[in-house]
Amino acid sequence: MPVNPQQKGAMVHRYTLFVMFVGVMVAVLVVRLWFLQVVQGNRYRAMAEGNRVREVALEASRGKILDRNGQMLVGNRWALSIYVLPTEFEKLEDKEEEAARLAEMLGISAAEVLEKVQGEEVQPHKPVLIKKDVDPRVYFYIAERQVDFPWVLAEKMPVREYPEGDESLAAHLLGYLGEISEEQLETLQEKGYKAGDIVGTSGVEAFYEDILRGVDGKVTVEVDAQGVPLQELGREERNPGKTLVLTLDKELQREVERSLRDGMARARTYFDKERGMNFIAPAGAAVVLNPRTGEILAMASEPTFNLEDFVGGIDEEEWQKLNDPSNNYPLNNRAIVGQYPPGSTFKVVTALAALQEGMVTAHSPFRCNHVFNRGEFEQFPKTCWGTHGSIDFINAIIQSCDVVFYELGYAFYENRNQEGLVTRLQDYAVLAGLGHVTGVDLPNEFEGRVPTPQWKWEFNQGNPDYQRWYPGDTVNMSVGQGDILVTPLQLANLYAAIANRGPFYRPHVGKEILTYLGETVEVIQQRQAGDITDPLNELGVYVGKDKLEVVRSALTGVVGGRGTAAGAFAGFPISRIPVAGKTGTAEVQGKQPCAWFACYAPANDPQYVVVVMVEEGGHGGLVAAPIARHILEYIFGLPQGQPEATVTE
Amino acid sequence: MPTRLGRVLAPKVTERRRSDELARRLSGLPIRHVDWTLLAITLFLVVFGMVIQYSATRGDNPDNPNYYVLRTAVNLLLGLVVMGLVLSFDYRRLKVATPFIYIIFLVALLGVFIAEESMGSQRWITLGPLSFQPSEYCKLVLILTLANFLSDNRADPDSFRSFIIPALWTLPLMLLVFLQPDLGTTMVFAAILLGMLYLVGCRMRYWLGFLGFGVVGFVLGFAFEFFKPYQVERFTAFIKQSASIQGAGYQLMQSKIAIGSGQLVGKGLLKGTQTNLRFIPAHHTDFVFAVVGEEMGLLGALILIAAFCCLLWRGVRIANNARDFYGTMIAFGIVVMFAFQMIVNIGMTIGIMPITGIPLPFITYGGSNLVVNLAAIGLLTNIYMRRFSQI
Repeated sequence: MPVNPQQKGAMVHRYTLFVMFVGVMVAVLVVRLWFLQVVQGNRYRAMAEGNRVREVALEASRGKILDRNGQMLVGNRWALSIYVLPTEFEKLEDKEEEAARLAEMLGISAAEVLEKVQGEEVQPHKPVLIKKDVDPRVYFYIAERQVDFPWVLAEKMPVREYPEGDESLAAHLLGYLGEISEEQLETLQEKGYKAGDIVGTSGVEAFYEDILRGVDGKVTVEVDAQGVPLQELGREERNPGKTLVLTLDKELQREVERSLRDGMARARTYFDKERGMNFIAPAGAAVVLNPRTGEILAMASEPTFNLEDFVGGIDEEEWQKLNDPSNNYPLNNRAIVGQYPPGSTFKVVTALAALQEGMVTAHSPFRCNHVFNRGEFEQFPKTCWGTHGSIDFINAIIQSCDVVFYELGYAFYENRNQEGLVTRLQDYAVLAGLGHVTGVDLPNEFEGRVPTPQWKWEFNQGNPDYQRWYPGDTVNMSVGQGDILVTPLQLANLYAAIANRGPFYRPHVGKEILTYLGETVEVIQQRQAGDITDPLNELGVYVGKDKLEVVRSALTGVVGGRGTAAGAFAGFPISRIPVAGKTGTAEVQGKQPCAWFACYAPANDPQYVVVVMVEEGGHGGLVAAPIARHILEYIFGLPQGQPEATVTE
Repeated sequence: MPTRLGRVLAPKVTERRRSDELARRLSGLPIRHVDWTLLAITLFLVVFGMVIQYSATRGDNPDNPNYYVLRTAVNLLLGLVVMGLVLSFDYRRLKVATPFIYIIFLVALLGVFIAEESMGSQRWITLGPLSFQPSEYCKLVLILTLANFLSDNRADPDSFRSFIIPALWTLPLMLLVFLQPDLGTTMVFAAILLGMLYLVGCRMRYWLGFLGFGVVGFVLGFAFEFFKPYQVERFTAFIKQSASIQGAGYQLMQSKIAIGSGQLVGKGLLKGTQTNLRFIPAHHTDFVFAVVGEEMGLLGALILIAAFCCLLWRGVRIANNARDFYGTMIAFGIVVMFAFQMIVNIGMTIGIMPITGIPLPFITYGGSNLVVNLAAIGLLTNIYMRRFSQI
């Protein structure tokens, strides 16, 4: 076919245009390749590595907690758990149906699954726990059919195990675990903690978090696009947490908890004449201390809670219940955070102070006519719980005569004008460890309160009418009433000082730290916290040994004869196991009185200090002392006796 | 510029040597005039493809790492036989046969709908142990058909008739392939038609009109949800890149990671982590270029692109030197086919073209594709070696 030259020229023109067009396109490809491979090459290289490499955490188990005899208090177990991977879940076509399929197997509702997976706080790449402790059949069904459920993860979750199960021994002291809070994270971040970590939140679990926590290891593996591990690239071994041995005696703890519970139940059967109803005794605490070392042998707080509820994370509903005021705050460890007026148990401090200041001697004579109306008290007389008539000082302690202590308190008040004596009584209280934390190895301990004129002034800043320090303030304080507050543990420490004839120790529950294999790492040493007979202490007050003996001998009288706890200890072999103690019945504004009993035994060679407190329980001698008696009976292997219900104070 | 380029494209034969050549030519066989460069490039591309396929697929089937490469080798033999057959006779004899071939393959495309469904879209016809993909062959059939008509009706290239008849030849093929559904091949057909119409000098308004109809049809398809969701997703993945972490967006992301992580010289053959750990989707088919980019880096990619450019260059040269306009049209149609497939395939792996399942010639695994590509090379060679032959 003839081709005319003009046509031929046009063809060449079109070839040229075509070639240029293809050239431009190829140039675009090349520029784009250069951009991807050279300009952004490093970024994509890193992404490829990220694709390829997965870090699998080797979770290190948390340290065990043992009692002083090596009995297991807290261990570990694996909880068969079902998780959902949020990113995989999002890829599903029919989310509702798949969720319903899983929910049916787990025996929960589909809405529950959806709520958990699509909740506000879900982090896309973190598996969401759907259910813990599932039926093993369901667990293995899912684990073996991973292909059918690429969005479901069946994994064993390491959780705390409590051998006592629902009895939940020493729940407050041991404490529970929870997800790390933001504040905790800030302080713990440098120790390698990360968001989502489970940490001790209360009790020794929190205080000894560092010790108990295991350091997770990790394996770096190469995975394919399906996430199937192909080979191990590196490994960091895990390091299990250390074992913590406590000073606690598990069996004693069990007995103390039972005695407290029983004693409170008994208190509820007693009639409160002033109120016209039974005592409600909603809460209580008990502490057993070794005065020679400060070791806490048992610590109970009622009401208590079930540690099992916290395993693997607590339900919202359960959590609300534990924080509901109508349930009396079961999470509070009242032995260290409960602050109460000590009532007559405080009289030992007043007595020591008065003896040391030379106001009285053991046999100084007093007279109790039931009413105290000296000086300013003529218009507002104060009364004693009884009418003791002629009574010497030592018997005033034994019978807990209020009038005698009002007299002493008033004397301290009148002395306040002398140089350096403004807070003399308070100084003795502080000397005995009140008004500041004992330093126990448990978190969030409260410090109680020893009121001073200065404190009152500052405390009532907004309320000028109440800023003045009245004689009544000192007089009330002398019998452990008014603004003074103590925790049961502080009181235990105070009686430990008396039991020890001066020195007292920092109360502690940690005894020894072992490796997870059981080799000793550290023995937690006892530490002296003070000595009330030390003349060189910085408070400027101390108690002479002879003065201390007067009070000690008075305390031995409390459990017998006309003592306020004589009924409670009726039938107790005092001759064999002498007990020295003091009852207390503290008036609390608007509430029924708080029952106290603080004691130590054997009185001649004290090995145990026992303090019992029952909120709104009524009389110390009637309610608290029998609980302490039962505890002592258990400690000394005595048969359980029957206290007599004699009303005192 | 046009004349200079024309000079470059023309074989450098001097006046003096022309007479000597003529004497020899008349006595010799056409095979003496084969374009050895073209064949060398083809060989290079086929070998390159097999190496990449081996690297990409050896992990897929650990018991038989050579599975895909062996199949490619068999297809290669088949393709060489077909290529030999195509070479053996003067391409002009095809003119007579073209309408019949066209009918046969149109029927074959219809037959695909009867054949069982495979991989979500119906593309294959299985005959015993053999299966073939008529839509691949139809690319060449279309080129032959259009070349046949356009070379016979060259006098009046800008008439409506010269536009509409080729378009009517093309549309049935496009429609059938589109319904399979195979959007990629449909676009290849359109590209071939537009490319060949362009070369004959089709009137611009018709040409643009066809393109415009295509675009409007496409938009309407979107609007009335005529396309399957995955097609829409694949097609639009390159626009909203990294918007999704799954589906086509995921494929594209992994492909870009693979290519980008290859950097300058690549991770080395068989060492691509994205490839071997199967992060790259369809690593031996649609996304095979990602394997090249990852394991051989920018260097390997440029070498491959350069080889393709060289192939296209030879094709254009053959079109320009063909003995007749029929040969020119066939050769140019083949060039358009290769160019379009290369640009769109590479473009889609690096996120500048829609993902449509267009193969990368010679490199992508696929029997029919390889046979058709080799047949196309055979046609080019046929045209070139008979550039001096008398009728």
